[in-house]
Amino acid sequence: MAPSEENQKVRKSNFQFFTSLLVTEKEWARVRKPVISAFILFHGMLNFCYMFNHHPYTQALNYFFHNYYFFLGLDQDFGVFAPVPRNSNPHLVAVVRYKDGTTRIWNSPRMERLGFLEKIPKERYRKFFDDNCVWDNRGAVTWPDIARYVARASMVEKSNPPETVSLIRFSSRIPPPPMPDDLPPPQGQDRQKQEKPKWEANPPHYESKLLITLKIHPQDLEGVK
Amino acid sequence: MSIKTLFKLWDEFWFTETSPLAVAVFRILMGIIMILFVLLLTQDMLVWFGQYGLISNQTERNFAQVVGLNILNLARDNDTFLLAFFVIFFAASLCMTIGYKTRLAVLVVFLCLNSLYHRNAFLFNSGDTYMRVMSFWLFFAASGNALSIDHLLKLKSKRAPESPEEAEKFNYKSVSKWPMRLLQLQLALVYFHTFVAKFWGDTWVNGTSVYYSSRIEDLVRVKLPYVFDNLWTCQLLTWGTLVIELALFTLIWIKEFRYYVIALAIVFHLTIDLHMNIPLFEWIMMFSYVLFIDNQDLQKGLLKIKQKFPTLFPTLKD
Repeated sequence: MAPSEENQKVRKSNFQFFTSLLVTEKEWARVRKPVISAFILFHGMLNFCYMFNHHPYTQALNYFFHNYYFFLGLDQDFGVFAPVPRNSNPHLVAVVRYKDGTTRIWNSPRMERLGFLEKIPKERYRKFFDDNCVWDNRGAVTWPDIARYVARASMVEKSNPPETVSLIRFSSRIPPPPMPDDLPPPQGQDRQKQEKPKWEANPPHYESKLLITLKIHPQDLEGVK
Repeated sequence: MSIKTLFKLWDEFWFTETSPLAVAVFRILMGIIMILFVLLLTQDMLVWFGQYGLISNQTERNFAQVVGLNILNLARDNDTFLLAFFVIFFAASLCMTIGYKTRLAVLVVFLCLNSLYHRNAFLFNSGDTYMRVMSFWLFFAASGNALSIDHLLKLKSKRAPESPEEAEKFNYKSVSKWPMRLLQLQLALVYFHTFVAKFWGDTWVNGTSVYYSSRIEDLVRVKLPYVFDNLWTCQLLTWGTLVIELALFTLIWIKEFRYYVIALAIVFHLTIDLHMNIPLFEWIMMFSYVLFIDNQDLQKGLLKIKQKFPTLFPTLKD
């Protein structure tokens, strides 16, 4: 459908205020398509360079335009379960040690232990802890803040404030799936058994790693009511 | 092919006109998602974004290393301001849904989504990223020109149409296509990127990705019997995922295949939504397919809804 004259007028009136500051209506009508085309091409290029950032040229372009792109929140990554899904199940535990030497355990919400409806509003906790913050690569920057938060949340008596908070990640590997062996079974072994091995359930979170132990200062406990 | 032909094709793709109906329906559906998004975040807003929350402003800035567009920086570490921000965000989402001051509402929604992202980036998933970018493109679309209070007020302020032809003109004046194309391309880009990112992964090649993703304990909503306990079903679903994602940025553009691809994709997303607890993500993806529905089919569908609920869509005409 070709743009009708009436519609062009309407469009002009929509842009009238903004464009009149820069160009006249007549000029806008002339430059409208080139300007919009440039806008589309520019953002298309930014998206391509950001998402497929494997070449020095795309990296250079990214570097140049990153401030604009990030400022507007247009940076995007849709690699869900890519290149491979996570193969371990983690959860975060904090050990709070108080001034008098007593300790208290704080747990991040365990989604697998919540009910059907409880899980829905708690999903952000899963994203925050299990997908991001418990891992060493991008989560490390958040550990001191999380420790301070846990300290504030664990403040029970003013006379006995938390002195240290240790964050510990517990996790377990998902057992690999029982893939049938391509090679023939060794002599004496049952082929049937080999092709249909048992499907193992997820083990308990048997691995532990101390992420950080933070000394808590009085200013870290500000805001506790 | 000459350059002239290329320019003509470009012009046809971006600058022809279309009914604003599809974009308007998308605006309503996305508005509903935004309302739920705000409600779900509100109960823990102080934990995520508050002065004494999990992540400080400074940590987020150190992590990002770049300044982001963030309204919350106007009154940093002020929980009263944060509460006001959420009230405005909710109001804007509501206005976006009903189409009141639509463009302004969409702009506010975009600014709010962007601000929350720049305040605590560790919180958001790909669905949130998608909503943020879609709200940016939606700002350029004339989504308030149909199925909106804005459109209703516009009609009321004008004199009554004297002839059926004139009435037809009043009903959803066609708008330039380029904002809708951007929205469509953004949807296709999501599937293109996720397909390419997965394509080289070992578990996507040997067909065990669905096995692993189904055993991520904290993601499980409902355990599906049999489906994730057999190698052949896991492999079928893994490779099927790649095929569906491939179709969603290729075949969806071809009219003859479009509705089949969309139907398949809806089944795909509903299955994920049933099995995995990622609220809103699957729904915003499914709602986005409305952008690919033919205007006449969309109008027919809406008229059927109108027959059951006559007060809905007062400006919609056959």
